[in-house]
Amino acid sequence: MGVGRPQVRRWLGPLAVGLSLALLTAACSEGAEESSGTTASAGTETGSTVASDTQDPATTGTDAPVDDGSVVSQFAGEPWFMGEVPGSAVAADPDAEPIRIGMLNIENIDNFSFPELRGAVNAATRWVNEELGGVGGRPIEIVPCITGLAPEVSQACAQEMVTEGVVAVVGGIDIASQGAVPVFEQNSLPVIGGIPAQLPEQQSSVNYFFSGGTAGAMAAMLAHASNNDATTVMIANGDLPSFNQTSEDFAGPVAESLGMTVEYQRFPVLGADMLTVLTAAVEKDVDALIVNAADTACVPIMQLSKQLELRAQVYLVGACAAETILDAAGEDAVGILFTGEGPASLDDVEGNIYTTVVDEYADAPAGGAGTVGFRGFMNLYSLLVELGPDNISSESITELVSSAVDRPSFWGHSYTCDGQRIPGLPAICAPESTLFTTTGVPGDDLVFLPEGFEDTDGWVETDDLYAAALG
Amino acid sequence: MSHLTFLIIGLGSGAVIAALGVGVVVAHRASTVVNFAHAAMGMYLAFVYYELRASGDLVLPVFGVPSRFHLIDRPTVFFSLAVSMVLAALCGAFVYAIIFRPLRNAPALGRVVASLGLFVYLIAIVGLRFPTQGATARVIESPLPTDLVSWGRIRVPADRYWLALIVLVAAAVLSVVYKRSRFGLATRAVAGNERGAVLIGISPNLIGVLNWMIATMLAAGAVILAAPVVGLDATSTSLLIVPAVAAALPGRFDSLWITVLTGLAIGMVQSEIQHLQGEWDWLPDIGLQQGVPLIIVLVTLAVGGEVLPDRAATQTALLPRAADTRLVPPVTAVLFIGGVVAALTVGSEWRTGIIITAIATIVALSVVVLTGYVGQISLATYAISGVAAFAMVRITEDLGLPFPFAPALGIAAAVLVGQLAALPAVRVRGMNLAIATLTAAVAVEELIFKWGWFTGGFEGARAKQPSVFGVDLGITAIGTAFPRRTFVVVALVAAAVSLLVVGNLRRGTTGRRWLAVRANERAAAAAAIPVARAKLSAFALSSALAGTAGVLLAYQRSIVSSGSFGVVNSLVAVAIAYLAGIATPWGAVVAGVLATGGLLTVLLDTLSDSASSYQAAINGIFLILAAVKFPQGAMGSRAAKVSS
Repeated sequence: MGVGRPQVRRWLGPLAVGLSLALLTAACSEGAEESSGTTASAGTETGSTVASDTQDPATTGTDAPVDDGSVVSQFAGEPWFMGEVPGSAVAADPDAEPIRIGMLNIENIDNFSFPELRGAVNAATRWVNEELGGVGGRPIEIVPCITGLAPEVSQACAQEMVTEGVVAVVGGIDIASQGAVPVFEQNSLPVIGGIPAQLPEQQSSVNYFFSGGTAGAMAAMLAHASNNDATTVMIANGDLPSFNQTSEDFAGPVAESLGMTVEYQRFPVLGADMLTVLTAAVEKDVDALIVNAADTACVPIMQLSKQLELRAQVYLVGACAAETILDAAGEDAVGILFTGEGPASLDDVEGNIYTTVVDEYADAPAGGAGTVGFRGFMNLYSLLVELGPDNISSESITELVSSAVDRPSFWGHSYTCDGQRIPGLPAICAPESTLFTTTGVPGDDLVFLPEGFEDTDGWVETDDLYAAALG
Repeated sequence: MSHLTFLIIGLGSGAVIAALGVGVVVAHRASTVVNFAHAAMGMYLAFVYYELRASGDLVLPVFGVPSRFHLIDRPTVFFSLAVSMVLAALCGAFVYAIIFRPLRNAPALGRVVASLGLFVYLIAIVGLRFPTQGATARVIESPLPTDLVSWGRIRVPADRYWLALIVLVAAAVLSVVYKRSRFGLATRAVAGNERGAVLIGISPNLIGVLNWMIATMLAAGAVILAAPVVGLDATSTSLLIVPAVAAALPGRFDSLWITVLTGLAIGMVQSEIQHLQGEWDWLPDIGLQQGVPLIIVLVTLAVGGEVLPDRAATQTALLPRAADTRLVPPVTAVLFIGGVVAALTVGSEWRTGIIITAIATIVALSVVVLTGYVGQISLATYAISGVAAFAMVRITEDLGLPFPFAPALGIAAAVLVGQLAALPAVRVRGMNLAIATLTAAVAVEELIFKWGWFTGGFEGARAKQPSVFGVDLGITAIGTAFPRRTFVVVALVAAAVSLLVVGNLRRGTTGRRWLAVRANERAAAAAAIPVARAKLSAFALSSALAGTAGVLLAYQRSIVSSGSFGVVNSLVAVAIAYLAGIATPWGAVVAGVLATGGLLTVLLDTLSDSASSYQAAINGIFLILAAVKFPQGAMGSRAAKVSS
């Protein structure tokens, strides 16, 4: 009965042949479809480019354009948030002392991985150093630290920023930022831009966001749902205290002030099966479903909403409108509404600059939520330029940004950092949001949805909604 | 009706647990190894599949060879699956031949450590080879049909049913193969009596290779197909090994059908629990789902006792030699003085490195006492540390007790929990104990460390910095004065005292009893040594050391959450302690230096910006080498040589 070595070898032969045949017969490619060129830009006729009174000879000017193949030469003389795009490319002095800027960003966690923000910031940094002359000749150096889902990791990253001697931190997304906030506050280190995730950072005295975060996004979604006669809404979010509190203490009152009843649904932050959320929405038969999820959760939500024939209008955050995600979702993305923080038109100079810079300088994904990273960095850059290369410190940056009133923002709504935009969230400087959708056709631009908000050029003034709901 | 819906939804995660459980059983039948890296192997291969599908690139897991080959533009699902399965088979054969075949007759500790080394390596290599995860970099599309299947009001996508069906079919095919084919009979012969099988002409090595190929292909297939349902993440996917092992345990790592049904049941019950948490307000919003595998493990061990008896094969390797500790006091004094001098002179990064090294040394000492001296494999070291840390914070906040009373009570709480963890050790040992403690560590992490009142939940618990008579002993400081030098000295004092205590006990009666129990429990009992008491005393000291490290970690980090005390930390702690020398205090010191963030990390960072990012992967490789070639660990071998 025993099987000796020779017999097993005989058994192995067919196995090897079978595997080889499987490989050979399978070695064929799918149809050579060209990769799509969808951009995270909403086709819009509105723009928010506001001519800045911030002028700096190093980065703005009216020199005769020189077509040297650089990005700036393509946009020379065009108005943008810092005045006019310079006429020709000037590299920063490589021997000059770099200005060290920190960056905290969460990556490599399933459902919470946003490398696109760092990719966009790195691309913007290279562009600034290679074409905009840095800050008065001084190059900018990014000191990154990758965070996770534990506050102590964020705290350690914040401490690293302090010991590395950075003058400011450009925001990415830090889901456990409650660990970092006290360190930044103790060391008076300003954190500029990024996407707020936790309440402590939105309540911090050293954070300055050009995004409304989930509070701003959800208010815009609710306003749109209300305009479309929704009376019941389900708000689903990952089961983290700040997410729960933002849903229940901020978005909830807004929904109620708009005459809607709210169902709350939580799901595990790791390894969540979105089917449970979508099934709950079907069973509750709500008119609108807001899902605060991103990254790898986006495609399943889009697919399941179609498969379950969900009646509710589904709203997702703008990070779910990244090119790769929409390509994967295909037709299932049609009808989903997304929020954004920029007018994002291809006809917009800043939108075009973003797209061109990412094409030229990004060596990692930089779409989707990368626009927020890019905006945060460019707005910080404008502050540095205004301060000048010899007057840059944490204190001077803090003083300048905290005094901003209707200051132009790169490819976004102008910002005011008076701590009053959303009651209880003083770090939010620009809570306005826009809404857009997709045609589902690869290569098509996203479609901007200004209906109902024409008076404000398509911007949903979420600060007004919060003022009405929270007093 | 909704209950049934959510039970069916759980088929998806249940199927991956079942499939991984079957793979664990197949590998165990052929080699007596419970491969704790089984899910991690599936995780790596799933990353390979989705990267291949997205870019046409094949990513290899081996250092020293090019990491990426472009195979084809826009490969099909079938091609990507075929390549991934071939790679899975090769990986299975390679891992068995290089790592686990040499350890077939090794003590349980060596086999556990080798699989932990592989676990650490695979997680690290995925971090290095797939540096930018996230949907913008890699979208996970289901290879299975996802159309909606409606049964009345129950509407669930087809992939859940497909996953369950595939697992059931795979189990059926394997059952037939193992019962009817010559290969299956040979496998059963090797599993039943290896020496007898050799005598009738069966090659255990070849049988082992083939079974490991099958097991790894099962792991790859399970994670690839289930990733769209349960997600794909280096750490959490690798930890699916916990419910998979729980599924395999009731069938005594032998029955495929019991494993499959238990795995499916775990997924379904977990899904229903999640549903009930939304329906019933009184049900706590903590990880009750992760308690399901623990209940299965505890019930199985309570009913069945030693579920995993070693097969009738000769154990050729000895346990690591417990080195003499007479030199501990003077060398500790030298190290302490050197550390203090360094604390006063070096910069911020090096001071941080010293603190982390000191704390990691104490953690490793905890492992040395329990595993190195008494032979008990516990994979819950950091769970014990966490109990001390969180208890200290609660005691400080709720009772207002200051330093040093709060940390002392925190450590006492850790000892108490350690004694509870020791109770299974009185009944089971070796691999069984490793499984029980691993499952318990996951359950503690999910059930207790995410309990908001005790730990602050996701927000974390803030530790009030220590001070005595107005003297600030804490770490907090502004700018580059962080970390304060005083705290460096506090950490060094704690590490030095721990070394002296362990060294002293090792030389005394207690240490000799521990070693006797480690060598042979029955012989120790025959020599009138109270085996249970010896084990409990070792657990007590080990827990006290782990607790000391826990409170120091809380002070060092200022804020702690469950992330500081995750089960992966415990696995790495045992692994690094083994690598450095698990039966000697000096091994613990080396383990402290090797720990992530310790002195080696600082040194590597000084040499190169990216050098330290390879540290975990290199540790994993050395760990595997140590388990296979140097079963006494680096310092263990050195100590043995000096003694002889």
